[in-house]
Amino acid sequence: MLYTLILMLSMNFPLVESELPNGLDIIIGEDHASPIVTVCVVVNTGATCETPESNGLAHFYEHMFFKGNSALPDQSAYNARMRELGIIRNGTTGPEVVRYYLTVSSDLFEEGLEFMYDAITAPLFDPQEIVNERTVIMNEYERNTSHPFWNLWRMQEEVLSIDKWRSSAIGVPEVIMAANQEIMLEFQHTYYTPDNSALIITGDIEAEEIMPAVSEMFGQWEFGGRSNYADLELNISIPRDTTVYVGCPEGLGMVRIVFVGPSMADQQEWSYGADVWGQYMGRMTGEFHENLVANGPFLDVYASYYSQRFEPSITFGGTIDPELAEEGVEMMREEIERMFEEGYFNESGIEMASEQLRRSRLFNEESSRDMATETFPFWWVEGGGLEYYNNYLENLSLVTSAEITEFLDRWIKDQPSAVFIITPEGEWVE
Amino acid sequence: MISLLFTLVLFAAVPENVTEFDLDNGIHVITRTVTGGEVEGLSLFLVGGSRVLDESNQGIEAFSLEAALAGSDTYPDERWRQIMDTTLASWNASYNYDYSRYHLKCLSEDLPLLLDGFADCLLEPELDPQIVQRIQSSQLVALQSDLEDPDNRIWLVANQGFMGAGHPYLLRPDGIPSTLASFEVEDVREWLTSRIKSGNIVITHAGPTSPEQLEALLEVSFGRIPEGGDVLPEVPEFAIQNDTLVVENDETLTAYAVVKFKAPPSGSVDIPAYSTAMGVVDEMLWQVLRTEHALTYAPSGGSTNSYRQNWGYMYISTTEPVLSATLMAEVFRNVAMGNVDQSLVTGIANNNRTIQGIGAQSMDTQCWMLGSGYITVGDWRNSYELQESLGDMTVYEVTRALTDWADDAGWGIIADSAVVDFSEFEPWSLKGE
Repeated sequence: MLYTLILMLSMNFPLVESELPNGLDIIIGEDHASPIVTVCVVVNTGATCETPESNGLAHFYEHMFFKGNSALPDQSAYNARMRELGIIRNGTTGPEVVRYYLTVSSDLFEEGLEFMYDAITAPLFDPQEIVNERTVIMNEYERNTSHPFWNLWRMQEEVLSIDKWRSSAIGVPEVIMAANQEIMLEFQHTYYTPDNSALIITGDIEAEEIMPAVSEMFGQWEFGGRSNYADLELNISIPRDTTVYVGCPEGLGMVRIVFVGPSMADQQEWSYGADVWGQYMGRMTGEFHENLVANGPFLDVYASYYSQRFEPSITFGGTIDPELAEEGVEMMREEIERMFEEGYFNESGIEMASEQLRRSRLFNEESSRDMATETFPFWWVEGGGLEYYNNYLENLSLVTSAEITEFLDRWIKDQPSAVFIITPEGEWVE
Repeated sequence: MISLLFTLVLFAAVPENVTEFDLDNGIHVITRTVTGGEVEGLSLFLVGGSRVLDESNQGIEAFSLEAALAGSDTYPDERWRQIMDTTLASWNASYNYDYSRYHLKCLSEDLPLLLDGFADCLLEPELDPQIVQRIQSSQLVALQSDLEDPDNRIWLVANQGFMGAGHPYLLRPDGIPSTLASFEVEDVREWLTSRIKSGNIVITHAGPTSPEQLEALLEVSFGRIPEGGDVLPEVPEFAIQNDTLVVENDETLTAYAVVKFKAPPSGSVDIPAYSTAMGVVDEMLWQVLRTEHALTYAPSGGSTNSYRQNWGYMYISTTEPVLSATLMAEVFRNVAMGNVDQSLVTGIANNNRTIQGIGAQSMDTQCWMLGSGYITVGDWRNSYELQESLGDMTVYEVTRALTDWADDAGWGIIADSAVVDFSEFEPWSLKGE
């Protein structure tokens, strides 16, 4: 047998996970609600793997994925085949994860699978197509600069990231305009290997029926063993209390207080308490909402932990009249202090938060396509495999108020924070 | 143009397990039973949209519904928030030219309680002034943020020349900052009293709850809504008489251009062919402007097909708006002249089958399709039949639809006059020689 099957838990449909000898993780979810199947390849890479000289090229690679390959020689042939198969596809590049996915009618599953295989294993990186794509990506960059929060994103990179280029997937113009075939091949050689990727398939298929074909096709993908992803270092640091005044369009006002959080790479044990804490804080009947929104100046507030390997953060934030923003920061700080008072976290509230997280998963699993393209890729990367996701609910149920207090003592109490006061009067990044 | 009720013989895409019934007060309900899960979707459609608005109250319905859904006399603010915390139900509101839609997503076990609260909020809203003011501020922030982005604003710029003065679709269902800021609690109360009438409402549902159970639940909740409703005027055709161009100067690194033009109205037999034609235009825009000329990251083309009056559109962001707009018009004319391979048309059909399959996984999409079809032509099946029929035709049929409807075009451009020479702008014609 070329693969091993492990049955996994899902709330709505059966799942199996297996690993091919070349190291490729395969996750299959059977969902017969609709005659479609979604195929996603997720890769452990992204901006976090870049240097100042390659900032933006992980994203550039994503664009080239949708161009010619050994089976379909150019963009026109690629698009024609998509139309022929009725493929709906997309890809995204984030700081820590890159994913490519397509959805196709389930009777064309094998053709869709082959389409994905050719694109992921044998892109051509035609030099002329690369030259054309430079200006296309520059246009994407220019569009982003018009976004009302572009300035905030840039400021956050400046303040929170140790190496700011590792946070910025879109990159910088000079690197985008210098992209070439050689550097694309280098990216492929390093990161686009089966041992650094997972293949996720959900939809109207039978796992046992398709596994031989999947195994035969993707088993040919050559093992790499060259990715440094697991060895990359943390990329967030807040060495001292910092306050930044960030410019934004007229009429808007927001505040954010950010702390460094536990890394999903090697501090996962903190993440369950962190998630329950975030959900607890988000309750509309909780003190945080009550004091800051119902009886305070904020229009909305949130407190959350962002599960990341390299830039994990804990954020308290909210929308507020810009004229009240500074006052809002003080009030939010007082609320943060209040979290350390005895009785702030009670068992019934914690139970509710855990139940909310369970329900949230039920809602997320409504669409198996969303599972293949959003949920599984995210947790496969951040959790280092799907075991984390699989055991998640059970681990949440074990979280107590004592654990939440421990989490707060370790990650927030007396820890430096970065405060972002976002108003029209704030500063602008050049 | 001839406008006929659009019906197709092809019923393959029409789902089974759909039941229709009326509540005692006349509210029409359409439910699709979907077993095997625990997630319920329920949409309330309030029919009217821009036609019940005027210049001074744009956005009043969007604001009133948001304010109402903050709590009622029976479910005051704190209790209602407690229910939201316990159920983790989500509410998604959308407002368009023809109707407002409020969608509830929840687990089956919570549906009875949430329906009771939903109806109670509409009938006996608490409207605490402090909470209403907070909602007003939130909506203003969201609206201003939206309008700040030229990528969003460009669509409204194009409307100015295309729709013609006085057209109801020029009124914004989500409001404009000056109107939104002016609303008082009493305005909200009056609006809800006048609009929450059974004749204005359609309810759609998708999920595991059976039609019998649903009917019983709705009768005791939404069955309390008083009878009556608005008599809505017809939506006039767009009054564009010549090719037009509206330009807005803004300091952006890239320019934005949108062109809008008439498309078959709801019920027209031309809708499938026209929609397919615009799907082909979309493909060709990608091929010509992005692949061949590398002028843009995101060209697109398409048409609306579920409003009472529809339009076709093309969009681009680019640093070379003149060349891009020239090519966009050329692409359109080429498709209209039939310079199209059959495989492009067939590809649209193939893509639509996949899109239909994706939509079937979402209760939200199912609710929208059931309601949209019913509201636009009086039969929920229309949405499914229309989707199934897109692309299933010849090049001749497709290009003829485009030729028949090709008319004056309303262009909008947002660009930086310091970077782009505005004197080179003109309203590029989509009509053939």
